[in-house]
Amino acid sequence: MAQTDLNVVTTQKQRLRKTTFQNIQPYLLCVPSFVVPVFIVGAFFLGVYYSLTDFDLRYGIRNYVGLGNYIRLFTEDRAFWGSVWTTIRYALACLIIQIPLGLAVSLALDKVGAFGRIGRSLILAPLVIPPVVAALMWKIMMGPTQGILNYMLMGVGLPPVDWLGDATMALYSLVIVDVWIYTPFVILVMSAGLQSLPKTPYEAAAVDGASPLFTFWKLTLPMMRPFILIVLIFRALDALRIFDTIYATTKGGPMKVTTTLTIMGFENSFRWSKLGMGMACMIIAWFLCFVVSKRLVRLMPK
Amino acid sequence: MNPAESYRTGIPWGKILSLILLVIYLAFALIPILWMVGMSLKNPLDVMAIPPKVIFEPTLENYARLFLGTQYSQREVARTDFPRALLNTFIIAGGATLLSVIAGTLTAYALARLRFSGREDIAFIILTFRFAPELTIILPLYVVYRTLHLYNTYIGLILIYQMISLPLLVWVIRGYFEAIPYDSEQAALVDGYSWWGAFRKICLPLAAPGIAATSVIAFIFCWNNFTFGLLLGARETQTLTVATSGFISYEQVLWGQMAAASVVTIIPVLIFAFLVQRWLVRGLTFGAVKG
Amino acid sequence: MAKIVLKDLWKVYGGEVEAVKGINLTIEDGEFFCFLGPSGCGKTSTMRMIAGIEEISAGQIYIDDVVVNKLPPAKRDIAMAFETYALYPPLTVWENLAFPMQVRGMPRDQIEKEVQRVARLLDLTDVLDRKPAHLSGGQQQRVSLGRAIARPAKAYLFDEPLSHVDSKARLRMRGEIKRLQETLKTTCIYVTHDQLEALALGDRIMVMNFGEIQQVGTPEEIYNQPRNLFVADFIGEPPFNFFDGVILADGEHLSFKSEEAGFSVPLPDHVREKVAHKTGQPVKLGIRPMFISPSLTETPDSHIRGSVYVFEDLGENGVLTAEVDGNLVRVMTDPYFAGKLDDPVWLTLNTDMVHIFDPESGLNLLFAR
Repeated sequence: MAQTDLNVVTTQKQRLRKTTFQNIQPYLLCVPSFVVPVFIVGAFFLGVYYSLTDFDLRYGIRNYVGLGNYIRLFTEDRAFWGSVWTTIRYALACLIIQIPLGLAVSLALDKVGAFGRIGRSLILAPLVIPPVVAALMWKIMMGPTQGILNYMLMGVGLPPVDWLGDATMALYSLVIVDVWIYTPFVILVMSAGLQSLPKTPYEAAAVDGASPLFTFWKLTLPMMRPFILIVLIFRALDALRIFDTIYATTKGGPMKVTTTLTIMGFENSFRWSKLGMGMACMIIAWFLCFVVSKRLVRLMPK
Repeated sequence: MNPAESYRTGIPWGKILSLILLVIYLAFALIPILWMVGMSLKNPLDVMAIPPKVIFEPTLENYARLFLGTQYSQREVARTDFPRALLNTFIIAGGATLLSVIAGTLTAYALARLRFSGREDIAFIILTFRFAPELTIILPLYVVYRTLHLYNTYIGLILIYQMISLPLLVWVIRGYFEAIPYDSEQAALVDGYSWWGAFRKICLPLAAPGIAATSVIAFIFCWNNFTFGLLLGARETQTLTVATSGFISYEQVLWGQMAAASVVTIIPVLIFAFLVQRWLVRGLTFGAVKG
Repeated sequence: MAKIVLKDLWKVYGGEVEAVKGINLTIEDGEFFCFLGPSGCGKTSTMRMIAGIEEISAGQIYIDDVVVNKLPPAKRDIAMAFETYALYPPLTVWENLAFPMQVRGMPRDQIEKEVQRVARLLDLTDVLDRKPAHLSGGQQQRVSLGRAIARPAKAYLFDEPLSHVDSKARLRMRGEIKRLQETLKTTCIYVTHDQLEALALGDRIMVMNFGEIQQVGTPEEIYNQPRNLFVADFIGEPPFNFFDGVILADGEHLSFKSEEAGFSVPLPDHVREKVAHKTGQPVKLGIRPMFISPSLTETPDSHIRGSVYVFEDLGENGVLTAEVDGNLVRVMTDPYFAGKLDDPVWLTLNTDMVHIFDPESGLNLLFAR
């Protein structure tokens, strides 16, 4: 990927010193892309400001309270640490299931041979539909009495499960939804990775007498590292930011078991109109994502 | 693939297990969608049946109600104007994608070809938008939008949707530009074209398929978005995702229509995804993985 | 050590492309055997079938009298060095070399000993902890060789291991490989398209073209007794000269007359019996450049008259290319040849060293049965 110096070429061609246009040209080109994000960054700082107030949507800004919201959250609010823990638990559970499952399916695909365009699209379907719709689908299927899942369970003699209503089960039901939606992403990336691996070392391994397991452990897995990392980064960050699916299904319940930081921020802002507090939650959520993304992106191969 | 296996005499356990796994997984992936489609074709009694009916007589009632506005339930709360939501989503997602393509392609070119200080920093900043929780930005914007009267407008939504489509387009298209050998452009420059001419005649045509595919992917992301439409839009600018979720409310749950709404929401996306599935890896990973 | 026998071996790709067409071959235990031929002749396919990484379309392969068609490569106990090295990217050089031994569960200290031995032999001791991506081409090639020879095996297969190596290193490595094999005395199969290499290394050589065996023999046999036109043309640098013509009889004596070039060459007695039956029929005469003598003046035993096309002074000797009635004839000379462009030159052939070929079948009539 040769980086080129367009400026040098045109300068040589014109035999002039760099014109002002050429100096600012790159920045000019970037301007359209920045008008919008500037807007967004502005909103971010505005949000930080709000988090330092006790802004109530019903009355407008009241007072500047400094870190008061944050202190309340960290010390008094019982739900806060619960939601932090819930957010982390959710992300971990998603990662632990999706990545090995996705890897296994992509290995299976590789072994069985390509699936063709249609097959691939079928596997990808859960990924490309709106997460909200996916969540609604599962909500239908997870209905306690009318849901098809319980129907199937009872059909084989197992007791029905209150998927979304049971306090211990609810979060994991949501994890199932997340697995359903996002495992295809893992599969897609892993398959691309597997296909990009060189083939001849595998011939050498066959001649050297390595068993499939030995080959996988010593060759395939290390060579897949960059792809596993990419998937890890994207999935970890997506899981930490999750909102759509939870809102559409449990809205944080039952009894706050599925309340993540993002849900908490939302509730504070719109249910209780306490935007200041809600923003504090969101800034903390943002900070969590920022820290995790910085550390993970450092590992990312480029 | 592994040559060591072409000699396995007897039962190919590896292949059988792989096939079983794939079948189970495919069933897992597709059954919910199929169930949803089925539900959209059920009449209201079948929809509520306990135990759930697997065999039933299909009807297009739900779709009719969606598009013609009549509702079955006693409480005729026309909470959603579905055809309007369909139109809105096309306008918003389409407009946002278009805007991002124009702005993003130019930026991508600058990042790919021109050398200037702060280049990698700018690229990284654009990327970080993708990793922040959406609500962190939406909540303050909610206030801003209401003040600026951008709330519930197409323009307002198209602008904010840039947060979704722009980083994607910039990063991936940058990758496509970088892959074009510089020699062709150089030849054009020597022939007397300005950088803009070289850009138009060389870079754009060569990267066009990738740009088109990535635009479709960006469109899909915009189409699928929920929170922006939920918080920054209202009845007039309601998006499909919000409309669909509106069928579940505290008063009633119109499963059948919700299912039909879901099906309508996902069909365009599935079609688009099928068309560009070759490019999906690049688009989904922001070009971090080639191909 | 192993004896390898190929029986009616076929390889067909995609139901259509016949890469290897029914070859029969016996490679003796302890031999250094070369597969020689141009690209696409089937030599690599044959080797890969022996290794077990290519499926056999038809025929059998025996290793030590055991049919191995259905055996996976691991069970055949052969080692292979690949043309493209095929090193293990995520492993260090040490781990690459140790891999085949680790697979077999050899004890750690023994592995260490062998790896060190091979590393010393191939001058890799400094790079043992590097990964293939950080090695030069030559180093990668040595690791590939090292991995093949690091462990004991029944036979060693080398697939063009030196084709990506620069010429100076290639000479050196060639010598090392030859020496290695003589020390180990293990059966070796060496695939190459470089005939010089094959002649230098092989105890015996199989020349292949279009999936068929052209000739099997010692280097000496291949060089001096080519069985057909292809082998004659392929072996030797500069290559054979060929002339079209007919056999004429003049009583007891036969001669070869070239219509185009307008010259006549008497054929020696030992040739006569083999080609007598072809009197009056078109044949090809072949002779190596080193058996032609040029002269700038006509001499009584000159056979051919031509003109100097180009002369290359190669330092130790020279190659004169003479134009004879539109054809180019190459002659090996000393470096002091004085002829200049377009000078007339007379060529004398050493008639004891001519070969006569049948133009249709391509066979060398001197050795046909």
